[in-house]
Amino acid sequence: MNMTEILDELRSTRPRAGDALRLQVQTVTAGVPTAAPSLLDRVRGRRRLILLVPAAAALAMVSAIAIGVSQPASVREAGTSVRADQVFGAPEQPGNSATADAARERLKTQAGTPGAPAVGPTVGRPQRYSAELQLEVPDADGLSEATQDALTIVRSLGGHAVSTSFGTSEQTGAASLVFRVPTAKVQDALVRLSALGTIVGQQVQIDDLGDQVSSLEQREAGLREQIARLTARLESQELAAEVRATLLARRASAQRELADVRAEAAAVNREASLATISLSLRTEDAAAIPATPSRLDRALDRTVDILAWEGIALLYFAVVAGPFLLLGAAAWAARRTQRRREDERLLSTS
Amino acid sequence: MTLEQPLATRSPRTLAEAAEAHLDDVLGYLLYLTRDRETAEDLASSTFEKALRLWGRFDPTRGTARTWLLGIARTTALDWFRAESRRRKREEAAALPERVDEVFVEGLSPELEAALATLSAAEREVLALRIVLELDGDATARVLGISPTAVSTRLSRALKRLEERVNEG
Repeated sequence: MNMTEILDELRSTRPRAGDALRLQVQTVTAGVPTAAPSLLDRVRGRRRLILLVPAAAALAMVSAIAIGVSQPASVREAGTSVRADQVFGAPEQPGNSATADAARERLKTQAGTPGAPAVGPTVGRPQRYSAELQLEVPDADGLSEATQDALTIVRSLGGHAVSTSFGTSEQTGAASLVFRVPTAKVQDALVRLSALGTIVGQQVQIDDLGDQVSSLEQREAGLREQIARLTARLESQELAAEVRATLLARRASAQRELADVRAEAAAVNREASLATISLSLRTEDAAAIPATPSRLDRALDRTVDILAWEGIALLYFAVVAGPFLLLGAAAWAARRTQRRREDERLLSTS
Repeated sequence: MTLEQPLATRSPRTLAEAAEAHLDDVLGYLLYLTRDRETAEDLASSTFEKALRLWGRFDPTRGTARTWLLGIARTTALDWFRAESRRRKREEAAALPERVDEVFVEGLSPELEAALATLSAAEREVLALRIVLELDGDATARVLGISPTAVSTRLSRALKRLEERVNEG
């Protein structure tokens, strides 16, 4: 029997079910309605996973947008900077009608406001006075103009610039100036300088030097008296050469110390006579002073926040559950392979 | 006038239609696999009972009803083989002989019948699917859960052995 005959015989003797079996199967399958597999039935196994991933991503996105729109981030969360003029009152732009008098008046009204330069030096009392003033100007041109005006104001009050730095880039820029101004005119200087822009910050520090000056005065008086006594002894008595030499040495030492005390006192007086003003000027910076974000912006912020949290949660889940899922998948794959091999072995030996 | 497509080639609307069209295929496959008509008929019946439960999941776009039913038949037969394997192990102690029909397919020559009996179930099932039921390579591969190449290899080996056994006898 050749291969063709074998194949023909196998095909021609194709088994047929008997009537009994046919009837039995008809009974089993009768009355079953037309099958219309549901979407869930159609989408199984890997297909379901393939659909689940984008579906979950879409759900996360939709929920984040829904929460973002319904509960937008608050203004405080969106931008914490507040315009200085909202704290200190309406600003006066440089070059406008902001005169020194008006500025002085404004500063007077700011006396109770945090950061307002209400404290001036005490007349007749030695004090170390230093002030910091931060101003904002509209643009680079305003910055240049304000810098020049500041130098003019300080010179006009008998002061001078210790250091200046100035830098601009297109419409933005900043300048930093340090002045020494006669203490008696420092408040006038502050008032006029503050008129050069919008005040965004100011700080005044006063250190009293009265005790230091008194101490130096007492030391000077004591040294003078000591020198006078030594001089009197050297002139009025017959002294041994050795004693005279000792007294001369002590008088010379007292005189040197007196000179030092005088120099120190002069330095303290100079310190008290000139106040230090540090002036910082800068152009308005949109990033530093953002406009109040719109509801859409806040909704977007909130949505991004929620998406970020969802991503963190997903990452956390992946880190924690990932190894277990991988182990489970490996065990499932191993079991499936083993079962398939067992089936093959079973059929090969049957 | 509408032309009705033959039931064997179009997708059945009900399980009853599928059973009517493919009962002989399912029985033939199981008969070659088990070499016992009574067992094959029992398994065929079980196959359609399972199919009844799973009918809602049948998706014509993923394969024909014939392939789907043969897949269920194979799973049912494997369960039976496992049970038989356990039973044989128990009965080997009592030295009970394995029960198979002398003639499991009517009309086969004794030489061919005897040669088929010497083949393994794995070889007989690929012969049943590819030669007797005339499934193509892809459909057979889907039923057996192996690649079409493996189906070709297994079929070639089974035919060679069958020819050798027939001519030996």
